[in-house]
Amino acid sequence: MSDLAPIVPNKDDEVVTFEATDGWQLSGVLRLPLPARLDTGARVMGAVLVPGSHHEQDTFVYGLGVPDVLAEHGIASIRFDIRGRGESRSPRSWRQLSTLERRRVADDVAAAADLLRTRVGITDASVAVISEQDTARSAALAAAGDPLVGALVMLSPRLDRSTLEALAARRLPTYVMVSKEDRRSLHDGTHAYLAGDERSELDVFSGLGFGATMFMSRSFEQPDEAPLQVMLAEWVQRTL
Amino acid sequence: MRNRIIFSSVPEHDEVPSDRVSGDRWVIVELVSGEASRDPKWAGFRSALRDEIERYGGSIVDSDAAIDLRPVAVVGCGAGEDAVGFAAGSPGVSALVLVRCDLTQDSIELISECSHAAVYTLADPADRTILAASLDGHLASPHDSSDIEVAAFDTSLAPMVAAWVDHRISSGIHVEEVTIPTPDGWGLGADLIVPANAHAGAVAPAVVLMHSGRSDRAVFDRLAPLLAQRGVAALALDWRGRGESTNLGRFVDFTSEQQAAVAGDVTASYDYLSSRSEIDGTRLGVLGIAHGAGYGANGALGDKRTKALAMMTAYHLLEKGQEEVLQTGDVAVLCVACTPNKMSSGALREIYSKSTNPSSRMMEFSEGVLGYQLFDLHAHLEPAIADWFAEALGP
Repeated sequence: MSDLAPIVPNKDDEVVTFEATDGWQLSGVLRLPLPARLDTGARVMGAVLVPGSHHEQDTFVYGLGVPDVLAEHGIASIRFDIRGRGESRSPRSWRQLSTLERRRVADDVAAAADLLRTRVGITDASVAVISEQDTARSAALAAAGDPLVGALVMLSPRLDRSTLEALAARRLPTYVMVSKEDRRSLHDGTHAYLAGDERSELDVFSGLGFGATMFMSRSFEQPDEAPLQVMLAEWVQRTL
Repeated sequence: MRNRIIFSSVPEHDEVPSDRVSGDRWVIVELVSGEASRDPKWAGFRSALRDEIERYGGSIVDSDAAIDLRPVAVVGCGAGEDAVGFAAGSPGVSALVLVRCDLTQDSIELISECSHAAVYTLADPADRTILAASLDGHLASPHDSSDIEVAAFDTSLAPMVAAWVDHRISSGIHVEEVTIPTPDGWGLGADLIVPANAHAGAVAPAVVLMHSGRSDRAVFDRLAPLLAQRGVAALALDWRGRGESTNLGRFVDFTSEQQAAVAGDVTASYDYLSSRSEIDGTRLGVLGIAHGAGYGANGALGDKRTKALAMMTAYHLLEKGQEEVLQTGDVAVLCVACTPNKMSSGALREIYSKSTNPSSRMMEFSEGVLGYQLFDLHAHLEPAIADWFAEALGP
């Protein structure tokens, strides 16, 4: 069996706790690359990493190193446990939340974006929201409602009509990654791409599965192709 | 014309079971919009429904009533928004009955996300607008037990509604949240789902469910009840370092040696199951996904209590001793592979080839997805896995 190496703490990582607007306590990790830490005045971009409801904040790190690749492209990041998951499980776990309560993940994303902007000193639309699977809906709504979000990335998104309408009204640069056997996400992701502006991109893969695990499948099964992490970071860098 | 589409799974009770009449067993919250409440057809239906519900030991309350720990269903008539909103906002609601509801797109979208409540829709073919919206709502529901009745609306539907709600609420399984100690100090959070008849003196075989390396036991929320409905208890485990089993650390920080020790969680689970009076500790099995399949195999193969092992999209290579176990035919193996994942499908074909048990099966899918993601693509897979365990662990 192929074991994965443990996550090695990065010197630029900082564990943070913060609050959503309704008071829910959230936990995450900030990754501040060098220019952000030294306050050099160099322009720094940021990314909010939103795991799907089956995953925790480590899903973008474990065996994938997404914050590392983003940092190499000058992008600070925050990854966090959405309400009900991981270290953000108090007072109730995800499975104890109602459908309406689960939709408040949008508030979690907004709070994470605020914290990132404050810590990095971002005052323009230089933040991207990166999400996967079911929570892409809440992440997209948060992004559409935040004028300081400048780009939206969705991995295998599961969306609905009202979210697509909100995206069409905002016309954000949108990058969708989806594997074609995931028919629902192919449908929803394609419509999200069409709702974005001219900088939007759609990549449809084959045989990679869903969400962040597509990155793992790509490295196992298509090792000669460009890593998805790099494609994602390059698009965010180019777009922001 | 009476056009019936439903009740493939719900027995029609000529008589209410004798254990259903002792006090308030469950509650139906009633949410009816103004115009609908003045409809004499609704008044007649409501009266008949109340009588039927009381026969099952239930009662009807309005939405302002204090809801206690009894199971809750919701019935809505008319606009439907309030009923859908109430159900979507209350994780304890397990059944939602929509009677002639003209659902908005927003309500239909809420239903599509509402996985905790089954929806029973009554639509009258004479109400053409309502029929279309009702059908959209029915098709949007992700719950396996959701159903629709397209029929002229009258009081004859009340017994069906009461039986459906009772069937949903008394679904024949017992769910218990447990913490399992391991010899090295971990406290493993798990859901134990036991067939109801096991509590009545029968003993059930059991399966330990091992999630993948990035997820937790929640990925088995649909499979575990399916097993219990087939007479097989399910222990959906958060193995060490994941989910709620993090009292000594997190899996993502584990060294290779610590990762290998996850196999010990199978042994701890087996020991726990064997201590339960309603479980047959000689008929145990494991289902594992991806990394969980490897740890599951390492824990299960070599333990004489193991009679069945299912592995989904695993990257596991058998050790010699494990091959020998499979060659004895004592353990039935189910290998679920995705052909485009060359490493794991090759490994699983190899494992399957070693088994001599006549119940062993190989299932291969053309999509290149990992683990529980297959459940989303193939609705028949979880029932097929549950059927396989019921056969492999049968008496």
